[in-house]
Parts: sequence; structure tokens; C-alpha cells
Amino acid sequence: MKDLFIDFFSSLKLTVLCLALLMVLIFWGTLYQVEHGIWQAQQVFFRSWFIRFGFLPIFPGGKLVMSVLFVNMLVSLLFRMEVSFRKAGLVLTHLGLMLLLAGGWVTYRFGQESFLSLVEGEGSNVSQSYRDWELSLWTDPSPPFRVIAYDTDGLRPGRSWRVPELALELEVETYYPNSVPLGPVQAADNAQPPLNASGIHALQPARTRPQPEEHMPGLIVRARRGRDEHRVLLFGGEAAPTRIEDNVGTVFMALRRKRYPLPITVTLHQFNREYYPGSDIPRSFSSLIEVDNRGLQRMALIAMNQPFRFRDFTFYQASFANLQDGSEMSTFAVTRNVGRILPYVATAMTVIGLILHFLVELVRRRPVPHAQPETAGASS
Amino acid sequence: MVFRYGVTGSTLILTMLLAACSRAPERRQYEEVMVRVAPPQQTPQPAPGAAPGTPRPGPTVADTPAAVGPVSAVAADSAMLGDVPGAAVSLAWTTPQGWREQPASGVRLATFYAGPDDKLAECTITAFPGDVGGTEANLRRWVGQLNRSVPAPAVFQAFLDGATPLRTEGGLQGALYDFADLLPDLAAGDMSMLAGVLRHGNSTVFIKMMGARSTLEQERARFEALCRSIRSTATEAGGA
Repeated sequence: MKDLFIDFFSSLKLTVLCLALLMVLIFWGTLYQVEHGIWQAQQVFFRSWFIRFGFLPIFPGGKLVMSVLFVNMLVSLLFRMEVSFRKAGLVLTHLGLMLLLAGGWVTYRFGQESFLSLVEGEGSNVSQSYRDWELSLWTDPSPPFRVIAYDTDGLRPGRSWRVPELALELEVETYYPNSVPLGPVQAADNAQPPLNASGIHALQPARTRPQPEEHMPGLIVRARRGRDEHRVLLFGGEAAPTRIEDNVGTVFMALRRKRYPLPITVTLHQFNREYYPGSDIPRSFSSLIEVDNRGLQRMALIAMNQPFRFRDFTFYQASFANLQDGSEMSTFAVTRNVGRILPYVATAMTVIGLILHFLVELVRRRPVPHAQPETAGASS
Repeated sequence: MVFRYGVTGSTLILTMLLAACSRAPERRQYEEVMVRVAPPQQTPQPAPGAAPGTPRPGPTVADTPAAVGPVSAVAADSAMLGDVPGAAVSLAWTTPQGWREQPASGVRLATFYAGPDDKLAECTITAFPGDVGGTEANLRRWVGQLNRSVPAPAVFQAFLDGATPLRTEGGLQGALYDFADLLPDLAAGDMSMLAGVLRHGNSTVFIKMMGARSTLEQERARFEALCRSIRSTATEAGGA
């Protein structure tokens, strides 16, 4: 049984099969993303065990193929590869490739992609998710806000929980991942509209879209404090939080894009842009920022192809907008990748391993000079 | 044997389901800091029509805990596009006779109610920087707000081409769209929409009226009058 396992997983045929499947996945995924976008293509082709047609798995997904490839290399390294100086290059190359796959998993599992939009003169220490949402609660009327947040992934009708700090008990009545807000005119039942800061009276579920960043979730929650009960409606597109005021105190509630705390506070001082002469096409744009790291300040410039890095975080200049009041807003794509160094190390290991293997083989296969036959003198 | 596995499996599944029902969503706690320093250039003062306490424009408005204040459902809906609400647009208009005007709130420059109480129609004026995704994309989205599917491309194109051109007193240009033309099967009590889309410098002004088709038919002339009365207050003091 053990031999069967080793034979199967250390097979070179399996390696070739995995590489061929990856090739198909990349090709198919590239075509798919034209219509459905990069995120959807990643989910369907590379972050799945199987590609499904409805419920039916029709093709191995990237997660399965890469996992098998990793096991394939590990098993062949442990059971098939000869441990000797002659094979040191190959061992190193295998380790490098395994580290590359492991780095991909670390990025997939622990990586964060978010954005930070700042108007000139404004600073923040949190970035926002493109796709995930949170139910935020806070009591502070002015910054800094101590926010208690719950991921909306866990919201289901009927689910209830306590927020002890706020003496609050919450119970989800309705949650729609994508919804349309209805005003007093459109809402069918206006008898007792829920508490809402924006005048929304009801929510209507909307079809989920292939690009989840287009979703606007909606939530109706019952908030109990002491003897008071409030029916609160929150919508993802609202400009203001809903405020609950009762005998216990004030609580602000909002359904908003999930926040990721940053280890620094980034303040946008100036945004600059240049256009190609006589056109509206931007040639370059850059943002002058101040970075506050626990009281230590420094200035930095983020430009196109010139990101700012801080520990595991990278800030890229993503876009900008001109506001109505004449001020300018800059948006940074913020990525956090704890394993960002792994691909560099893996690539270096692979290259060094291949060079080492090449040199060893070069020396080993160097032709031995043959002895010259002494025929010249004899013939003359 | 089969019975024992069945009971064990069912118990496990039930326990998991019960645990899932009572479990609170994943909780996080963090401190959010907001910094305001003097920008490099003086920010212009808000327009006379801007509501007190109007949040500063920008997509982070929708996400700013401090931005406490009312905002409309229509404005919130507009944020679905991820666009930047333009709170400080300088516009003025003449309120049609018989319409009830509400104070400006959030990014709504104005809200009006018109028609009989049992078939009240709501009209809003909003403005956003840029083209907000384009008129066609917005019109398609608004069809969805009426719980209808977007008709065939040829029909939709005819609807776009058949729009009533608009030129306002203030020289703003655009078009007026009556969704009853696009969706002829709407009954008198069904929800319909009148929409005016105007260009104002680098911004787009939306005048949207939603209500029963019969109400909108009655109010269409006043709606058109409202659209045509819109003007910039850059040359006129006062406002909405």
C-alpha cells in the first residue's frame, strides 16, 4: 500500500500531468476573466478544488492541482531522490519550487487586498475591503473611534448575540448580501418604518453579481438595550450611520466595507498629476503622504510604479478623482502579504539549484582526454 | 452497526447546526483615527444651497463614522456605483406649484413630494462629479429599480434616441426620459419613473421622480418645468 502511494505520488508522469493541467487552467482562466473579471476567474479556476458545471465537478481546480504537485515533489524528494552532492542542485531546485507553491498558499490564506481613499489634508489608519463588509458599532461622537465590528459573513436571520461593552443584544431579522433600498414611496408597508439615518423604509433583495465589489448589502437588526428595543435598518450605501439613543446612551451603527487596521496613519498632503499635452490622458500622478508610525513622522512619495512599503504592507497609487469643491482625492491600493519575500527566496533557490546541477553535470561529464597513438614516428 | 453510525452522524450534524445557529459572527475591535490637516489649497466655501452639516464630498463619506446626518435613499443608491457624491453643487430651481419641498439632506440637493397622498410620487435632485458611469448605464440600472428587466437592445436604443432634449433656464443641457415609453405594459398603479439628466460643467445632475404611472402622467408637465428651471447659482445669489 505504502509502495503504491509512493509510486503514484513520486511519478514523473504525475508531474507532467499536473503541469499540463496547470497550463490548461491558466489558458482557460485567462479567457474566462475577459468576461467575468479577475476575481471571479481566480475563484473559479485557481482557488477551487474543482471547476464545476452546476454542482457537477468537471475539471480539477488550481487548488487541487497545485496541492498534488506539492505532494508529488515532496514525496519524490523524500523517497526517490538520491542524497548526494551530485544531486544537491536538483534537491535545491525541488525545494525552491515547493517554497514557491507554499508562498502562493501563504498569500492566498493570509494576504489582504484593500484600498485607502484620502482627500488632500485627510489621514486615516484603516483601509477598506473591496468585497467584504462589516457591521460596525461605536459610541464615540468624534475620533478616535473605538469600533466593534462583526463580519457580515456570519450574519443569518435569527442569529443573535450580545455586545457586553454596549449592554446591547442584537438579533438579525434580515440580511441580504446585495440589496436595493426602498424609500417611503416604494416601500409596501409604511406602518412602522425601521430606524434609519437615510430615510430608507425597506430593503429589497437583489441578484448577486459575478463581481462582489458591486454588491450593496442590507441588514435589518433588532437591537435590545434594557427595556428598549429598536428595529434598525442598515444599507451598505449609506452616507451616515444610524444613531440609537436611549436611556443607556448613544450607539452608532453602520453597515460598511470591512476595515483593516494599518500599523501607521497615512495623511495625504498633496496630490499631483500631469497630463499629456492637449489631452485628458494622465501621464503621471503621485501623492505626497505623511506616515505616522506611533508618533514618528516622515514624508513619502507614492507614484505610478513607485509604491510605498511598510513591513508587510504595500501602498500603490491606484486612482484619483477631482471633487466638486476643487480638492483632489487619491486612492491607494493597499496589499498585505506576509509571504511576499517567499517568491524571491524560492526563485533564487531554484536558479542556484539549476546552476549547481548544471556545473556538477558539466564537471562529471567532461570528456576524458584520450592518449595520442604514437604512430607518426613509426610510419616515417 | 448502520444504526449506530446513523445516530452518531445525525447527532454530530445536529450539534454543528445548533452551534452554527447560536454562534455570534466573527468579532473584531480596532481604533479608527481620522486626521484633518490644512490642505495645500484653500477649499472653496460650500454653495449657498448646501445643507448644514453636509458631509464633505468623497467616497469615504459613506464610510466615515463621523459623518452623522441624514442622507437619502436615492443618494445611498447612487453610492452603489461607487461614485463620489457632490455635496457642494451650486444650483437653484423653481419648485412647481403644489409640490411639497423637503430640506436638502445628505447629498440630496432637494426632495419633493407630489400627487395624491395614496399615490405619492417622490422627486429628488442630486449631482455627482463626472458622468457617473454614463447615462445609459444609469438608465439600465433604474429599470432594475422598477423591478423590470431591461428590454431588448433595439428597444432600449429607441428609448435613448427618443428622449426629450432639455435646455434649462441656466443653460444646462441634457435629456428627459419617461420610463413609461420604455415599459408600455406598466399599469396605472405600477411604479414608473421620470428622469432628467443634465450636464453641469464636469458634473452630472440627476432629477428623478418615482411614483405610480398615473401620478407621473399628471405631474409630467410640472416635472419638465422643474427640470427647465434649474440654473447655476454661480451668477445668482440664494438658491434652493
